[in-house]
Amino acid sequence: MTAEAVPIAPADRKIAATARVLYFARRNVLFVVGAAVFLAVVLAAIFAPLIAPYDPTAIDFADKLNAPGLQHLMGTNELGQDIFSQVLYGARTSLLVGVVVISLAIAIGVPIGLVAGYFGGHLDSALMRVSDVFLAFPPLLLPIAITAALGSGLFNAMVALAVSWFPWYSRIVRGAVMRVNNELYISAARAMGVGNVRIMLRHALPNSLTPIIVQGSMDFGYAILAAASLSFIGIGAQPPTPEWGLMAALSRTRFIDNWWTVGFPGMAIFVTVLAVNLVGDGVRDTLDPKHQSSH
Amino acid sequence: MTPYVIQRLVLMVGTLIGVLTVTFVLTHILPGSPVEVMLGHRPTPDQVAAVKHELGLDLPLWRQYLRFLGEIGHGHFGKSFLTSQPVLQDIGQRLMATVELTTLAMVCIILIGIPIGILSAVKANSPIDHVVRSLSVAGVALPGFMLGMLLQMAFYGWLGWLPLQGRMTSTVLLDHHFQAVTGLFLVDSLLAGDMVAFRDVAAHIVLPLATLTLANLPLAARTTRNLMVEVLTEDYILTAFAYGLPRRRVYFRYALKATLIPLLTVIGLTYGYLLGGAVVAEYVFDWPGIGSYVVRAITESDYPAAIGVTIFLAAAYLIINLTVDLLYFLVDPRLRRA
Repeated sequence: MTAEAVPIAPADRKIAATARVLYFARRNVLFVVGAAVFLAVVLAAIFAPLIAPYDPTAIDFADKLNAPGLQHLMGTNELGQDIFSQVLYGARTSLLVGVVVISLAIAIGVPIGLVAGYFGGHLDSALMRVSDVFLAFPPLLLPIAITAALGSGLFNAMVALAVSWFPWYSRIVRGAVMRVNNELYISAARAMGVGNVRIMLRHALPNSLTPIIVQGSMDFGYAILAAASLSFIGIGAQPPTPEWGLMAALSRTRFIDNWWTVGFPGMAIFVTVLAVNLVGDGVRDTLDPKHQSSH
Repeated sequence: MTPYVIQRLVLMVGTLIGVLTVTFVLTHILPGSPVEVMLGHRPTPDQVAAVKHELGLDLPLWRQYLRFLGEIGHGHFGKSFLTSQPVLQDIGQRLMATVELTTLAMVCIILIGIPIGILSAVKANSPIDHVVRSLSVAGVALPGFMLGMLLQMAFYGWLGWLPLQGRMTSTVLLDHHFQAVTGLFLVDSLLAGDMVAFRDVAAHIVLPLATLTLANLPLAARTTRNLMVEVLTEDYILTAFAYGLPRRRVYFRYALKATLIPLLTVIGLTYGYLLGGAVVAEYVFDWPGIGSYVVRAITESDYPAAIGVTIFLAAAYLIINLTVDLLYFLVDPRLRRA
């Protein structure tokens, strides 16, 4: 066999890339569908001011509780606000929540996990014990309590969710760092006198990026759901912020006879979170072969 | 076994102190002061000082912390601003409503979710498995409060079969007063032999129960499936199949035993989600349990009540997890020897 490399024509390379994408898409129909829907939600959020036919906060009592129709695609609520416009703007709120909560949780959790995993010993036990306390509360209860202490509001709710979520990221990073801690290249770096911080950031951290991305994409949807629940019970987003959970809460007294006031925000949450979760599953299946859902 | 139990108990007390510390930090360092709530608008400086002294807020922080631990340790959770009753008494009055709801939901999830998960794993990659997995992916995306409101619209609004909210119709309650023996209305009305009351109570619990069950079923079924799939690919199971043992015997003799421990884990986890989910479900259905109590406490700045319920639920969750861990010993003889 000749060891000569056969040069690949650029056109062939292009075909190969397209084929790979198509192969991936065929094997991951759900991922593609989820990604498409998610993209649509992102576009709706970005272009909300252009698409929305009304100001989502404009009150018009003469026009209240209209059934969906040509005037108002998704009807109006009891203040006469256009629900379609509110749903569009609500996409901004929910996507913002997902991004902020996950980023904050990573920003708190990753350094803790990095330090705990890298140094080990007493520092590790102490940091992990403290993290575990945050996991000792039933899910959703801690964010509720923290929001209560900070005061109601969307920003506080996001902080609360991040604070109750960070230990998951600490654990992931700690585990990943511990696995590579005794690898030759880390020892080599140490022997060459590379500083701790540099080893952590340049050599240990990159190894935990994959599990962080997987966890983050899985958690994105949960963050949206949890924030909607907080808004629903009245301690998250406050009026007039357009938020899907809050829209449902504000229609609590009248929704039985006016299904659209709750139905459309509900559908928006469901579709968005489902799309996000499908994307998350796809990311996990691609990046984390151990978790391969059996196809 | 005993050293392990002691070790776990010590660990739990440690975690509990951690929980109390987190709660203390939340209430004492962050903004939002109970003094404003107690005194309303524009109190005089003297009034503020008096209340601060009464609550111990004029002490140095570390003494406040010790005082806080001591009070909780003695079971003093303070008085609710809203009901003017001791918080523990409030919790006691509402606890059984929550227990009735969450326990029944747990039973439903065990009876429905776990068998579905096992079936899905045994028939992995069959049409049944795909249906179960699709439904559970979709189910996780629907928030509990939305599910509850949808059920209300369907079964109260359109069909008119079930009541909208509450635990009992007030008129029925007046005519059919039954002795509160257990605090579980379903049991108490049966004990009293009052079928009218029982039917009313049962009709009221259906929707909140369905909400709580359906909201947590997908996760339980999916986790069970994944755990069972793992067990079914173990070497000794493959060996059993390779020997040509009957499938049923492999599943029930060998696989089922090995899944008992992961299943206990699922149950413990699910209970946590139920406690959190109950807060939202009780709020939707105006269910008079501690979930709706804590929501009201928080939205109306009733600090002692909010703190009390938070600590109480966290402690309950810790105890449930400890129980689950101890049950491992009953189920798995290998652990007892270790």
